[in-house]
Amino acid sequence: MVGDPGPPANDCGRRVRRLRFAAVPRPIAPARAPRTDARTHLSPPRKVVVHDDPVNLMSYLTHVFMQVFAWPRAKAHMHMMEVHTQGRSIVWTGDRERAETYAVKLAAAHLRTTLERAET
Amino acid sequence: MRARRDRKSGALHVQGIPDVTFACLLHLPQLLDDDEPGVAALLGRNAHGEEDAAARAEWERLAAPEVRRLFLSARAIVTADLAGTALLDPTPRRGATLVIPAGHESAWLSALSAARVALHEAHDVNPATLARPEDVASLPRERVRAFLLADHLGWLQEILLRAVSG
Repeated sequence: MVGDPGPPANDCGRRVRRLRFAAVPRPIAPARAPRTDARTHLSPPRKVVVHDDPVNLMSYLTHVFMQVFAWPRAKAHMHMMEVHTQGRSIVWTGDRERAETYAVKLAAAHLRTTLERAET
Repeated sequence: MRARRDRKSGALHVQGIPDVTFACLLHLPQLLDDDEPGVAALLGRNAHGEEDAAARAEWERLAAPEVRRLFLSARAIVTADLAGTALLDPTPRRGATLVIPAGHESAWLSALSAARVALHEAHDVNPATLARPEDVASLPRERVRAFLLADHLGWLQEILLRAVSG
């Protein structure tokens, strides 16, 4: 009688190979650096626009423009008149961060202020 | 009503405030209260348009708290100054005196503007309405009160602006 042949030679070989691989720690794949873009992108510039409202005094608008932008009275008066007669005046155009700083100051003075994208 | 600056302290003395204007002035802290519907609208303004959702969110996160902080600071200054003034007994006929310490002028101008804009937001205080007498007669009492307050506070603001601008 032929004894139990046991598992086929091929199977056995495969098992050994598996064990060998299990004992060796898997090499850690080097962490992939996140994809970055070296180019600088600036936020699109913004226009700071002050709109007319029926309650704020004209003299108050002039005063606020002088305070916020350090404008001479004549220039502040000119923009105030633009707000009064045309309903709005673009008081500053430039990078978004500074535009927002000005908008906060104007909003804190309770002038109706918006920021609009400026065409580049 | 006129304003003069005290040479020694630098404080601004607004003298001869009529009783009605003084009464409106005493309402100022109440008009700037958080519960006032116009105040929420005033502080809820966003400078960015609806089409710029990311910028609007950023404004809510960064700019709006700063606007609110400046509003609260002006309100606190005005309330404290007014508490001191309210203790002064307004002399009949000569009117009351409001003392604005040096350096508090900007807070006063901002607070008066905030109160007037908040009144407009809540009650549509548009001076153009007053040009049509037929509309004025049918105005609800709350709106008439809002007009009265906005008008008297505007007068005071104009006096302050003249004193500050020189």
